[in-house]
Amino acid sequence: MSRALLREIVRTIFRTKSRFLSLIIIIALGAGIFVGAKAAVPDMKETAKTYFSENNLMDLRVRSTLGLTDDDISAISDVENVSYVMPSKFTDALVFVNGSPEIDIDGSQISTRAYGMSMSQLENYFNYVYKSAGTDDGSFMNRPQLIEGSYPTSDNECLVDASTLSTPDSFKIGAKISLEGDSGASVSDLNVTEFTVVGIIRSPYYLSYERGNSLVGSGKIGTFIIIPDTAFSTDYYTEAYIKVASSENYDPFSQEYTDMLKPVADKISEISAGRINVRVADLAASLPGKITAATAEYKTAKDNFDKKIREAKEQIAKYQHYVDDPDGAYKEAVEEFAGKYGLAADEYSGNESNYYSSVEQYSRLLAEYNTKNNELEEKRTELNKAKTALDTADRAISTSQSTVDNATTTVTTMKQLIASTETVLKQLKDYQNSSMDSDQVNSILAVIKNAYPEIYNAIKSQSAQGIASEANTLLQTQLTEYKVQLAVAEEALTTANKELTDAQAKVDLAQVAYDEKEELWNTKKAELKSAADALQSYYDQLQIGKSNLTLAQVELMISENSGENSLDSLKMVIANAQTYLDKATTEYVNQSTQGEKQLLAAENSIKSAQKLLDNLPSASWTVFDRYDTPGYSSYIDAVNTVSVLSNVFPVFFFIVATLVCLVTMTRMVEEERTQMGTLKAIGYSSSAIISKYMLYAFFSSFIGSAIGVTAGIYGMPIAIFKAYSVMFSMPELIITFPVVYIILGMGISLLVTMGSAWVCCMREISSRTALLMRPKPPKAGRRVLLEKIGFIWKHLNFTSKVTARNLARNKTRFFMTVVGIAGCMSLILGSIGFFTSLKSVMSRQYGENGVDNYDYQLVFDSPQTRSNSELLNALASDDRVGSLMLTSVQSVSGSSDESDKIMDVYLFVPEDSNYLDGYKNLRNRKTGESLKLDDSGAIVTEAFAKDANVSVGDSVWVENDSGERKYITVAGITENYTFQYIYMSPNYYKSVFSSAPSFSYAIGSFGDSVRNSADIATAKAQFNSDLMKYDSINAVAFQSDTINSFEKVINIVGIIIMIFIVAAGVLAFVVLYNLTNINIAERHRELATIKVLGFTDMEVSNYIYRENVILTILGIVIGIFGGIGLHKIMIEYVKVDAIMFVQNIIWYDYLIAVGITVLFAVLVNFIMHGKMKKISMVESLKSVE
Amino acid sequence: MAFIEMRSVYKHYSTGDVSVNAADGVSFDIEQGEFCMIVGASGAGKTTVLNILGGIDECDDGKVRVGGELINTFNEKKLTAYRRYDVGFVFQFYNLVPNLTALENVELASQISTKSLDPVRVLERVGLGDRMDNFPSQLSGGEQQRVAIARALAKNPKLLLCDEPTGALDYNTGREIIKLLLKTCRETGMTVVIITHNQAMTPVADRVITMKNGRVNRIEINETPLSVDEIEW
Repeated sequence: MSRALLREIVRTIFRTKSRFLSLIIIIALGAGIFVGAKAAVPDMKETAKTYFSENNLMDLRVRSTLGLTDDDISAISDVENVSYVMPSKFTDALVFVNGSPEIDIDGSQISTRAYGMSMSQLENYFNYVYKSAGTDDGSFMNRPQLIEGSYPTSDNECLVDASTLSTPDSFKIGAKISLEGDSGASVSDLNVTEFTVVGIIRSPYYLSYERGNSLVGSGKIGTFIIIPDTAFSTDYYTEAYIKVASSENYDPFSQEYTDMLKPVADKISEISAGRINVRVADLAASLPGKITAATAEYKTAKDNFDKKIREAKEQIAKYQHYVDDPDGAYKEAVEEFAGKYGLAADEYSGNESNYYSSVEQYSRLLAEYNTKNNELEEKRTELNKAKTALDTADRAISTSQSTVDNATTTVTTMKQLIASTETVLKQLKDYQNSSMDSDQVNSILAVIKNAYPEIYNAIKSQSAQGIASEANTLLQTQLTEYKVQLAVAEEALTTANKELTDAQAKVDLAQVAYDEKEELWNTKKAELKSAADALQSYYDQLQIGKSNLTLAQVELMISENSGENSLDSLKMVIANAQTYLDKATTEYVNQSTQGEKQLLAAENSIKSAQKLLDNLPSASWTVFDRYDTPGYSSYIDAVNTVSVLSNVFPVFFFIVATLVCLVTMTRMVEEERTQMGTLKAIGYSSSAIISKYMLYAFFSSFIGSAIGVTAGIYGMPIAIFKAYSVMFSMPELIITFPVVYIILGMGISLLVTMGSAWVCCMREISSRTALLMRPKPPKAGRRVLLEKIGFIWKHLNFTSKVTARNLARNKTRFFMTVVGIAGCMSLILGSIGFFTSLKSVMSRQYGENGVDNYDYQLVFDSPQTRSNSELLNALASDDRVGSLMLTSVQSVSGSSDESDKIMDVYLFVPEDSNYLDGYKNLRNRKTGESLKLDDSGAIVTEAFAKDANVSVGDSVWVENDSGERKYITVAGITENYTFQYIYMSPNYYKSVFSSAPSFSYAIGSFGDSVRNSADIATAKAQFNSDLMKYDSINAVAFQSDTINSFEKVINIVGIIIMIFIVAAGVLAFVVLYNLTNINIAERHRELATIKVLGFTDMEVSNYIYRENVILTILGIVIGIFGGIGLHKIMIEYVKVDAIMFVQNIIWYDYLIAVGITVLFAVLVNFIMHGKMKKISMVESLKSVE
Repeated sequence: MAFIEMRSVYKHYSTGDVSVNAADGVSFDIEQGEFCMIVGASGAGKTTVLNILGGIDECDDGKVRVGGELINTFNEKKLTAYRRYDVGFVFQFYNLVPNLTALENVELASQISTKSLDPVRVLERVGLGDRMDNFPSQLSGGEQQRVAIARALAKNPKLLLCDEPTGALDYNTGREIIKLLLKTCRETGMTVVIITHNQAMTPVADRVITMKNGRVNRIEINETPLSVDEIEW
């Protein structure tokens, strides 16, 4: 290719930059939206898949009504194909932030689910993710992804959820969250109930804003937090998460994945019975003791509460009195003061006189004591005298006694001497009378020698005979002497004895005297002692009296001072009595509510233990898969919705865009035909000439589609995902590169643009060169079809005729413009209509005269019967409960033999089918004829009937969890938009299932007191929390909440549709702009001419606009049909949760769609007006181009 | 005071690097009812002067008075009204709207003027009474130019401006057209200004303005103009 040609291309691009640019924009829009929307689906899937696997979302979850023990966990671990089990604890509680309760939009207090997680596992995970340390611990599931802050490192720190829809705004880092049970009770499962927020996280477990149901507060979990597992006091786990081997190899949204999990789940269900028996036995042993303890605690709390309330009431009475009668109260106080002062004064004077009489008495006693003391001294002297006398007498006795003793001794001695002497004498006599042997003599001698040494000495030298006689003589003498001595001694003894007797008599006398004295003294002494005691006691009393007196004096003083002060302050209190009363009342109310709460909580804890005990026989394990986690299936629905939208809209865009390209390229080639001819004449080959246009087309479509695809791949999925981020809390979108669609998008763009350039070029270039050199003769004027219809043509004004001819002249442009506008109109109308259909579902299902007429649904903990339910009686007396109907609702799988699809459907049995129409309107959607539920068969909802491919008279089947299939005859098909139902009368139910339905649900309408309440939201919230106080009510679901959650979904779809509407609008604009631009360019000369003729700018513009208006109108009319068709397709294929759509476009949807289209058309014309104003008459008329 | 007074009119074009003084101090008068011809070589500034006179171009300096009004002071709106009511334009290449019949092309002009003539009558006057329903493509060049003249006349303007009206026509047809214009001038007293590069035509004009390099070279007043039949070119 020559440089000249290349330069020529570049020049052409610059010369026609607005055309080039509009080509780029149109191609970019078409290709971008096509590829972008197509890329959104794989992006969303990939993002979720990666998120699940990185955060190790569990595959299955086991929950036991009795909690799981370590043994249970290891039993689950042993199940085949279970690779990891993670035991987990959670508890539900009401939330207070920085001390004040957190309130939900509906006015109820937000409850939270607090999950316990191991701090070490969190730390390890943190290290693994952020520090390339730690390990990828497979047993750590549902890992919270840290968005801000840090993981907790102590018991009283927690993580909060990042979702903007469900997390309160006040959940910021550093906020203090405290948890409470219902009615102010503490959370029994926790040791720690106050936490500081340290981190904000998102959890793969909570994909969407949905949080599921709880058993506290309003029955709805508002948000969740993660706390250290050490904060839990329970010794069992609430649930266990399970990872199944090789599950990460499956697409989490595929059927294969679900199928792979089923055998594992079944196996776990199988082992549950055995495990439960063990657990039940344990609990049955331990629970009664716990209940007893709790009951005792309750009693203490109750007493305490009663006391507090009494005190508070007294306070109130006092202040009430102040308020009611301030003057009287003051007077009373003054009187009271006076009385008190008087009393104090009396007491003082009493004390005073007491004291003084005590003093008097004391001195009297003192005198008495002194007298007694003197007397005692006297007696003491006397006693001493007697004592002396006695002593003297005693001494005399002792002397006499010793004398006697001496005498007695002497006598005795003498007698002994005599006796012994006589003995010896006798022996001597015996010796003299008879012969004695020498031994005997010697013994006598020894005796003598011993007793009478002198005699012995005198006789020792004598012969035996001599000795005897000598001795005898000597001894006789001795004896006589002894006898004399004895007599003397005896006499002395007699004297002494006499003396002793005298002395004794004297002593006796003295003793008597002494004893007498002593007695007297003792008496006196006792008297003195008692006097002293009396004195002492009086002294004490006197001291007391004295201090009393002082006290009384001080009191009197105080009483006087303080009385005055307190009267002054009382005055103020009375003046402000109302405030004090209010305060006291508030205090009372607080005390009583708080106390009541505590009591209730205590009572509840007893009851719940009792209930657990009662429930032991019905304990069970439930195995859940991911579909049960809140938001999981919503996400799948979202992906499907995007998938359908991406099939419809972008294709449309692409078609319109390619058409515009075709027109533009045609125009371009036609404009340059002279040049083509010249080049051809110079000798350029056809292919060289064509290559210029091909290159022009290539550049524009390549740049356009490259920009579009790039922007589309990033922009569209991110925009869609952003819209969904309101609903889903997920990490950044992962951008995948769908190569097929990129190639397809760019390929089609290139093909269409270059193809149209080629076709046009070939058409022109095949003409003879000479012909090409001449300007293409303007298209000849022709009569249009309309002119043949004379009467219409005649009535048209001149300009209309011109317009009609002009329109007919260029059919391609006519067609393109109409198609372009019709396409945009279809897109806008289809989208808006779809949005209306979405919204109208809500009003048709829940609105005035909608399908559902009830206001709320109650879920009971056990089946109820009308005849003997305390609960129902209690509810009947509540004026907020308007009417109530017991229902049986079972979620089952259902279909028919005619269909391959299996639907989730609710088997709904009302307590009394005669009154069902007050709650649910069963009717034919088209005719409005109401349907009566009787015993001949079931009434099924429309969507179900359609999916099951059945009509009235056919039969459908349902299957419960155990896989038992029952056939049901369809007696009617009813209008219904959300969820799918099979309605059966109790009798028919019985005939099918051979057992009566059990009514664990109720639906009801509000009583007038709620309905007519000024603040319905608050009234509902109050009603809700009151209902939740009943033990046997497990959950309350308001229809308004259902509507809210549907509306959230609807709004997101709305945002996505808005994206398409804006894109469609831009497309409409570019199409119109481009086509009008071409139109003007082609008719430049004509316009200049009429300007010269004196047409005003407005008239010149109108000359063109009239055509545009007609084209726009035509486009709009066709677009309306297109829009309706598009709408139909969308309704057919877009699935949003459990909603059945009905084709429904309201008149103002048409208006809006037309309005938007017209708006863009006007905008284009406005811009074109400026352009036409600038048309230079001089330039245009110079010569023929 | 003359019907048309041009005084020191300057017009300067510049496209990129090229700069042209198309009118370089042009001054002339044309009396009411005159049949005036402006002659000169290509690029002499004839068309520029005519465009300024017709209100489709503006001068950079100087005064242009038509019928007592200074049109160089007119704003866009007044200029449009001036073109609409006071001026009729005939172009070298006719500039008919191809999509409209002869009659409709005339109506295009007559519709917007308040004092317009009956389009059918005007067409009959230019000799096209039997070709009224033909489209331009079905007419010969002379016929197309007649339609163009009829379109200009139908507005009943005070001033008829013709830019090389015979330039694209053969000799005889050109004569016919000049005849028609002269006839119109004489019969209605309309002031007619014709641009031509053909000096041979000038004897039929009351006034001949010769231009050269953007200036008026010479102004001739022809006291006794010849008839069209008397001249040859």
